[in-house]
Amino acid sequence: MKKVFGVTLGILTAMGGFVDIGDLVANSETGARFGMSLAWAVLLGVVGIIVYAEMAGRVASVTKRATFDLVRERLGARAGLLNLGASFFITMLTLIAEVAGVALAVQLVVDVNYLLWIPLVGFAVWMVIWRVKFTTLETVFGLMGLGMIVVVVAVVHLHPSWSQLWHHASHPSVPSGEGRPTYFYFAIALFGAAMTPYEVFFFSSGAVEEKWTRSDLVLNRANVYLGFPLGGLLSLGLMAGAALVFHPLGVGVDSLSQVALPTSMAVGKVGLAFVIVGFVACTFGAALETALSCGYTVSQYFGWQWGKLVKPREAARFHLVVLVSLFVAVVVGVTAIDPIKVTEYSIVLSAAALPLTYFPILVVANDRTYMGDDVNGPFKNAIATFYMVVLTVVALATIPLMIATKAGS
Amino acid sequence: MRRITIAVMVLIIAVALIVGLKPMTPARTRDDFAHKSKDTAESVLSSVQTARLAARVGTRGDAFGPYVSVLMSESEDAVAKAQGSFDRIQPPDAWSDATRARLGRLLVRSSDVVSQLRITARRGELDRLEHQAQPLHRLAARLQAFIDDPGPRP
Repeated sequence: MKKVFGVTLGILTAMGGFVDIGDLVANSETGARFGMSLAWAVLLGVVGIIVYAEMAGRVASVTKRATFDLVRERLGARAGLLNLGASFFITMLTLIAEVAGVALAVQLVVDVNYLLWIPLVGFAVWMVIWRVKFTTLETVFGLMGLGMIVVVVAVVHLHPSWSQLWHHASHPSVPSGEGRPTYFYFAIALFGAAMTPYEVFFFSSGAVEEKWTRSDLVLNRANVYLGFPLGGLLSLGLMAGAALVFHPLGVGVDSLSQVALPTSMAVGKVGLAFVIVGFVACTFGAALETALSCGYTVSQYFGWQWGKLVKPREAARFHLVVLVSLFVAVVVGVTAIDPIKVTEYSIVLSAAALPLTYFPILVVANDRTYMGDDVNGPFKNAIATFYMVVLTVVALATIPLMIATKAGS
Repeated sequence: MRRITIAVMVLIIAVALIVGLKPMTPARTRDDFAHKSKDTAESVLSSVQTARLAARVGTRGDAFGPYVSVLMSESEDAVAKAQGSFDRIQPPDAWSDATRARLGRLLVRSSDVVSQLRITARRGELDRLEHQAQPLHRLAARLQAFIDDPGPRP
């Protein structure tokens, strides 16, 4: 019974924790602009993160080592450093966006400029990392993030023509007035939002922190195979809500407040309360994950002692990296840089750097010296290889498309 | 060689980031001016429609006051930003002057109505919002007409 509870909790946590500021913005923005015609990109991203997160979790459970620990070992110091630079930069951008995202969500409740909240949010994130147990923070923010389920309820309350929604999703086409490059640029943004690298850094490091073993592989698979798809459903709910409310009116989504509007229209104040709690939980949870991921990647690359389970005195450099990263995020955030723009950049640049993160995982997951009998099977390898090709094409196309479309304008 | 490769990559990413900020460049031709006018109208239409929806949820009791106020403030800021950028574009000919005048009137009117909505929302008088937002319906239609056919009044 305890095991069933643990698995259920893990699934709910993974579901609630799946959505972050990138998903909130990218799904609503594309729903408003392209209707449901980019739903395929969300599905592609969700399947991709399922395949590689399961692999990362399995590698961590079997080898007791996190992703970046193995990146340096397999790629060597120089290539590992390049990987570290790119991954850290993107995770840092995401951290800035998440911290600002929490502040923007708080602003929706109190109508006090979000810039004033950023330092407090940064401090709160640091305090939680410093004081709260790993499993507690994962569970609390994951479960609070379930408030986002209301976006799916809102879609039902908007009484859509389901056949029309399904038709748009299953017969993707470029809407009139939009160019093909812009369409694919936003497809990349959705894909990048679903497969953000920090998710596997955190997932694999979390597995090591929680001392997962081979017996935890069931939990790993349950989290990934059930929690992530249900999280993907929330992403599609955001897209559908925006497609139903904003797309016919020609409204473009460029603020977090707009993301909540379809829910408010459909479910009223109660729905709005749920969605704002969901925003806070998703962005705060992701801020914790990205701040920790900054510490994880740097510490694992340099071979320092790392982790929340270790006494801070023994992992001083890990905590210093986390603290400095949070400080930088707060400083950049209060310069009034547009947090939505930072979010857009972080997810698109994530897409450009995806192979750097996922290729080493694929290599190690096939290495019997690390994995023993738990190496990838042929079916998993076929899917993972297909995704590696997709990731490479996406990585090569991202920057040219960004320039050609003026970042989707 | 490796350093040159890294430098080129950094340069390309920097260009992409700068391009992504969508800096307003001068309009050198009539077509260019029409294109920029249309972009401005689309941006303002988006804000106007957001303000209409915000007014609706505010008056019908489907949203909290601070939330409606944030929506109105952001719509107002977006209209002002689009208006400011558009005002700085140099019209290249007489046709562009007339286009500028047509869109300029719509922008000023949109800005006035959305500002008034923001003031009302901040005062907590949410029940008045939907009535006050009525002119936005007509403004949205006129902005849409401009988007469909940018240029001087047909």
